[in-house]
Order: sequence, then C-alpha cells, then structure tokens
Amino acid sequence: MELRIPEGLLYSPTHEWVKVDGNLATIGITDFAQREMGELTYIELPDVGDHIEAGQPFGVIESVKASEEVYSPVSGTVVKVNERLLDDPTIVNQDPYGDGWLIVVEMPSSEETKALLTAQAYVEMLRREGRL
Amino acid sequence: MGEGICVRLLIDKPADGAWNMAVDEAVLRMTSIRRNMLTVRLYMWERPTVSVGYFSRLTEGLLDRCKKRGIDVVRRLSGGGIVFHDDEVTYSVVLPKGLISDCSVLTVCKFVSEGVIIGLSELGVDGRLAHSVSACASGRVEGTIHGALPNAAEFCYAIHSPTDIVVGSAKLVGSAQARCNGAILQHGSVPLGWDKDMLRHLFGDGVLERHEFTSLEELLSYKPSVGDVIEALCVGFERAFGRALHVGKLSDDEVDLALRLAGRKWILRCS
Repeated sequence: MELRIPEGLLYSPTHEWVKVDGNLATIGITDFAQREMGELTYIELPDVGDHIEAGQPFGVIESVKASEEVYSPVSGTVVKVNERLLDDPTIVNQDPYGDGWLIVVEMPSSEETKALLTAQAYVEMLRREGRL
Repeated sequence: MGEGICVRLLIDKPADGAWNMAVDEAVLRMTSIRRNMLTVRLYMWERPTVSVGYFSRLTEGLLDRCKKRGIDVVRRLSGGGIVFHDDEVTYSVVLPKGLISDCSVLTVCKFVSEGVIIGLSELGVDGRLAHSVSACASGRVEGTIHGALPNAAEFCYAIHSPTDIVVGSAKLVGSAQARCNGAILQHGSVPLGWDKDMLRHLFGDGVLERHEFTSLEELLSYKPSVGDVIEALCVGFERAFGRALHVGKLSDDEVDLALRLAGRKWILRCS
C-alpha cells in the first residue's frame, strides 16, 4: 500500500505529525514511522497536565522487541491522551492519522509550528534520505 | 554503508548490569548526536543478572526469586522480554540512522545479525535468522507458555520472534533494539551455556521442557572460551560490515553520561 502523507498536516523530521487547531496541537506518528516499527505491542504516553518540550521525547512505543522514543514537535501542556492506545496500540498501525492520534497539546503560542514541514517538504526529506 | 563511517570496537571487562546498560545507552545517545561512528561492543556480566525489557512486567515474585539467589536485576532501554545473563558474551551494535537506507526494525536486525551469524559459523554453528525460516515471518512476536510461573511467559528464550537467531528450530541468540532520534542500538546474548537449575528456579519447572532453546555448549558438545567467541564475533562483524574494526575506548562524554545513567532510579539492582 502506498505511503500516506496527508496534506493539511505539519510534519517533524523525526516522523511525527501535527494537526493545528487554534492553540491546540494533535500529535501522532506518521505512516512512515509506524511502518518502520511494524506492529506495535506497547505504548507509553504522558499524563494530562504534563509539560512537554519541542524536540524532547514524550513517549515510547514498542514493536517486535524494539522500543523507540516519540518526540514532541511543539512545546505545551498535555490536555488529552488517547487512552484507547494503551489497550490496543495497533490502532496506530491501522489509522496513524485518525484514531491512532497520541496526544493533544495546548501551546502557549503557535510559533514553533512554523519550523515544521509541510506534506510536500516531508516527502522531499524522505526522498533526500533515500527512504522513498 | 557510508564511506565516512568509522567502525569502533569496544571489548569491555565484565561489569555489573547497571553499568553495562548505562554504557549501551550512553553510546546510543552520543551516536545520535554525532552520527559518524558505528560501534560494536562486546561485554560480559560480572554477576548473574536478570535484565527486563523496557515494557516487561517485573513481578514481585521474580524479584524475590532473584534476591534469594543473589541475582542482580536491571531494566533495559530496549524492548523485548526477560533475559537471564550469566555464561554468555553479549554484543551491542550502535549505528546512526541513515547509515542504511531502510531503518525498519527487521532490516536493521538483518544487517546486525549477519555479523553474529558469520561469527557463529566461524565457531562451526549454522545459525539462521528466524525471520527467514519460520512461521514468524509475519513480524509478530509469537509464543507464550502455560502452567508455569507467570514470568516464564516473558522469559526471552520462551518467546520465539522473527529477530531470533535459531539453529534448526532452537533459539540460540535473542536480541532487542532501542531506537532514538538519530541512532539505533541492537544488543543480544550469545549463551555459552545455561545454568538449568537457575532457569527452573527463576522461570518454573516447565521452562526447559516446553521450549526449544540452546547454547554453544549444547551445539558443539564443548564450551568455547569467551576469547574464542569474541574473536569469532569480531570476524563476523568485520565481514558483514565490510570494514575493519578499530579497537577503541569510550569517549570522555560517553563515560560521563554512563556514570549519570548508571545511577538512575529505573536501572535496578538487587543486593
């Protein structure tokens, strides 16, 4: 199946996506990231109220004996966590941009989102790295 | 593999579990920043140690059984189950992301395991990656056991995975990965022999009968020396990576980071 990189979202070089709605940022991992890991078996996410920093890890995912850190594309306070994933992390594999969202962050400002990549720029980055 | 990449070899003296895991993590973190070096590290454990995967459940029962026999317990940064490290050589390979174009878990596993498989062949052992020979090819982690102690279900050698190196149908080398922003660590155990009484104590009476796993001693009918296994693995990694291994040491910043990590709360030790 073709790699999905929807327009309208922003992307980080570490393969997270962000959907911005006012000062709220919904964050997940990209289709590329979930394919690289394979079927997820465990997921660890922050608690509501935690403060997370752009570029710093906020969670860990595991598949086929490999654990990987997930990095936050923006700074802010976690206001929502997708608790369904704790019971069934494979939702991320099935629907990384929909039901597989990870957290929602309230940003003090949307300034940091300006440094993120558009869908087209993310595709170009993957091509440059020989991953497409 | 990129031309500008140096392949460093670290052969460490036996150390405790917290230090062993801290060094692996320090090398991973610094490789993630510098991205100019592939590190092959070979090490041993100065005391029998149980290591627990990042998400593995460490039950009070297992902790008690470890304490009774003076076994250290340490949590790994990597995924996977529970490993009993005793009479073994452990390898870790840390590579910067981008060193190979496809960094999927299984592709990296194949890249690293090729060195271990060639090393085993130097010892006269015909190992294969389970992914290439078994029903595990789907990529799912398979296998649980029934009726034994609860932790037996998470004993690494009771779980068959596509990332295992098997001889026939018996698991010989288990491995796990930890991945961060810019680098990937894979480490794994090459068992010289098994203390079967200890395995029964830790994981239940059925653990030996119900599961197919083996050691170099069982396969070769003699136990190779640690030195022979290290030499064979070095040959294997050199051939697999197509590069000479340069004997090196930890950098000062890797040592500083390892010292901080070794004292971290979640790297446990029983005494």
